[in-house]
Amino acid sequence: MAARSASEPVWIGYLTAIFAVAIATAIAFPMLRQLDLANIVMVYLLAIFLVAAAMGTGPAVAATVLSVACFVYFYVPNYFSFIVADFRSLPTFTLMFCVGLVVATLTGRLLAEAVAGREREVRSQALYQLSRGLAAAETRAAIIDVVREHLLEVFGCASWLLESSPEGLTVVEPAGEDPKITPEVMAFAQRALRERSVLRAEDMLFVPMIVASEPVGLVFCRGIDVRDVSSTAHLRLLEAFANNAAIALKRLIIGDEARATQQRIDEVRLRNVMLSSMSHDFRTPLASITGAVTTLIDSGASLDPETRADLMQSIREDADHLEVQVRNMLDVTRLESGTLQIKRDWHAMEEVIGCALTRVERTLGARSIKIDIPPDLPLVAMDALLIEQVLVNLLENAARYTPPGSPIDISAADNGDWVRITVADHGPGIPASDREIVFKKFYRGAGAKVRGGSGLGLSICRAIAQLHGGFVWVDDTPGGGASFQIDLPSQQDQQVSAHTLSKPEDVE
Amino acid sequence: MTDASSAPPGGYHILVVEDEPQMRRFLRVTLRVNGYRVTEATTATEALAIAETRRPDIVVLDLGLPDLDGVTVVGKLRAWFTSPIIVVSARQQEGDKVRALDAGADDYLTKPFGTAELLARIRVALRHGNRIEKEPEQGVFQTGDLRVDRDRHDVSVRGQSVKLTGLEYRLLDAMIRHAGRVVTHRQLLREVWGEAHVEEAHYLRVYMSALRRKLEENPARPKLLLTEQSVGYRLRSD
Repeated sequence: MAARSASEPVWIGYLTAIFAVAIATAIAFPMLRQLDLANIVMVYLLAIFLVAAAMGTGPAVAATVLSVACFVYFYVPNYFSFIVADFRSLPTFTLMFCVGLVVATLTGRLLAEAVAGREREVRSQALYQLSRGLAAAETRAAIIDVVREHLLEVFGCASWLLESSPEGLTVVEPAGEDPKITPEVMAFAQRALRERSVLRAEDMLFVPMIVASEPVGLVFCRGIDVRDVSSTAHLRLLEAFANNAAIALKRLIIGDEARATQQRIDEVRLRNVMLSSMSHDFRTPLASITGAVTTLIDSGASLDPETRADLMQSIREDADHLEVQVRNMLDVTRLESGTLQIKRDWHAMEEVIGCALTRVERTLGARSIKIDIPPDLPLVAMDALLIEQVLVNLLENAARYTPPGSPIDISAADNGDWVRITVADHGPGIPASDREIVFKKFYRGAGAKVRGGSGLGLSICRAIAQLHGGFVWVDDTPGGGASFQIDLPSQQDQQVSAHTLSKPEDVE
Repeated sequence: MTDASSAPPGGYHILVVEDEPQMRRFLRVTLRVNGYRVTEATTATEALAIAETRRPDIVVLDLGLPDLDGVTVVGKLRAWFTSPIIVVSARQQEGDKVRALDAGADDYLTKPFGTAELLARIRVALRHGNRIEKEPEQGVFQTGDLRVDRDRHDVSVRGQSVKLTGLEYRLLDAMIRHAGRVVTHRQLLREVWGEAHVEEAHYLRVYMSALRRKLEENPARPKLLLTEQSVGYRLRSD
């Protein structure tokens, strides 16, 4: 109702009343001779009714007053005068006045209710649309979009969400256009929040967002038409908008918290598994080192040289094993904590493969290693230490799970977008069903047995490859065996090649 | 190993700077058994004082000291100390290692290392440190299958003459000047390409790759031009 009367100036209603009475007079007056007064009264009552139905109570009352006046003036002797000579018609026009007033009031009330009902309908529709939009919004940006879109649609104003934080009120990103929050505007916002009530200033509106009776921020509207928010119904709609938005934001935060908690639980669980696996992996070689060393100290002199050499060899192997364990643990910790920063530079694949091979020389023993790297393979952007670690882990794995002495093939190929490095062994291979599981943390192959790995090597490989925007997976080696492939993006657009580096003086 | 002809009476004097007692003991025992005289320091401050008063022939310096970081210690020593410095680093100190080398350290060891590696580094460092002037730019250099006649710029591998481009030869020549010791990327880039290119390690990788293809039997498993990952290169020396 408020919206309607705000949009249609009041005087139109009264003008309509005058117009309607004029028409009624124009119709009824010529028929004065043919009709009796009761019928004339009916024509006027119809006019009053129509005015009431279209324009509400006020104009209808005006129409009633006018009708009675016209009736007295035109139809009651003395004609064309307000002086009433024939008192028999007094009940007629008194009754007409009363009926007119009743019709005006009743019809006007009906009309108001219809309008209010329509508005309620519009409001609940708007609120329903908003909450549906909010329910579907899964990010802060989406929530803000939904709120702004609806405020623009329903109230035609631009809006921003301001969030209270320990530092004060901050605009929730993405803010879109600049809200132009001056210190004055901020003071208004603070006041609205403090008083927990809607505050209006010029074309700006501050609607606090309240969740569980806690003010969490406010909706700031700019460019709002004051008449649009003059009624409590509209203010309530705005408040409902704001609170819905607040609840949606809160829901997001709670969701994030739940996820973070789940992640922490997973981390703790992982750490426990890691600790128990660690204590086993560390204790076994330590026990063997302690055993061998105490034997050497206590009865070294009485041992034959062969036994002594044997014991010392086992000490060395166990120490190496411990070194690998510690390294893997460190790598996992750094990868998981996200503190590992990759230092990308252009590296020759051949050099990185060479370094990895040097590091696993002792583990590989007398195996034949076939290396196939095309001489024109471009430099690859990578963190060489990390990729070297990937290769070391793959080679150590190959050594662990394949019969001693079986060959290993390493190759690299450039297929445009990717550089693929392959480490292929000729052992028992990995069944297709296990090819994803092997990259899981703490998974150990059946062949790991005594010299078992930490179950971390391959998960580290995958994490490192992913840090490079690449991937590592396992396939069959033609003729039997496991073939691990590492794909690294070759970033050819920035390719550096020997060709572009040649200097004029660089001649033989 | 001691070089009987040039070693001073009682063997070379080594200053070991290391704060971990177990590591210190390992170094002390190993070095003494091999004929070196050993003085120990547990902090950088102590090390600087001892270096000044006792003038050791070589310093073995751990980079993880409690009082000063290794790079600063190398810098302070290099202000006046001309004998070789070998830095010892743990695996997490990759960056420190390279900076210590660029600050003037002669070589490095990464924990854990074996006795053979330790002694080889000391031997090479002492050999270089003993020379009063810089490595002679002339004569014949030989290591493994490689023979370089530096007067005639003539390079041959396994008796076969090899043609090198100008830059390739300059790179090889720089490696020969530091034979046996690690040379950082920056050092090599400065010596071969000049000060303006010290950050452009990819130049180096491309040319090293080309050089290996000409000199090595299997470029992926080099026997002459060894890679010291993320540090630099080392030319094997006999």
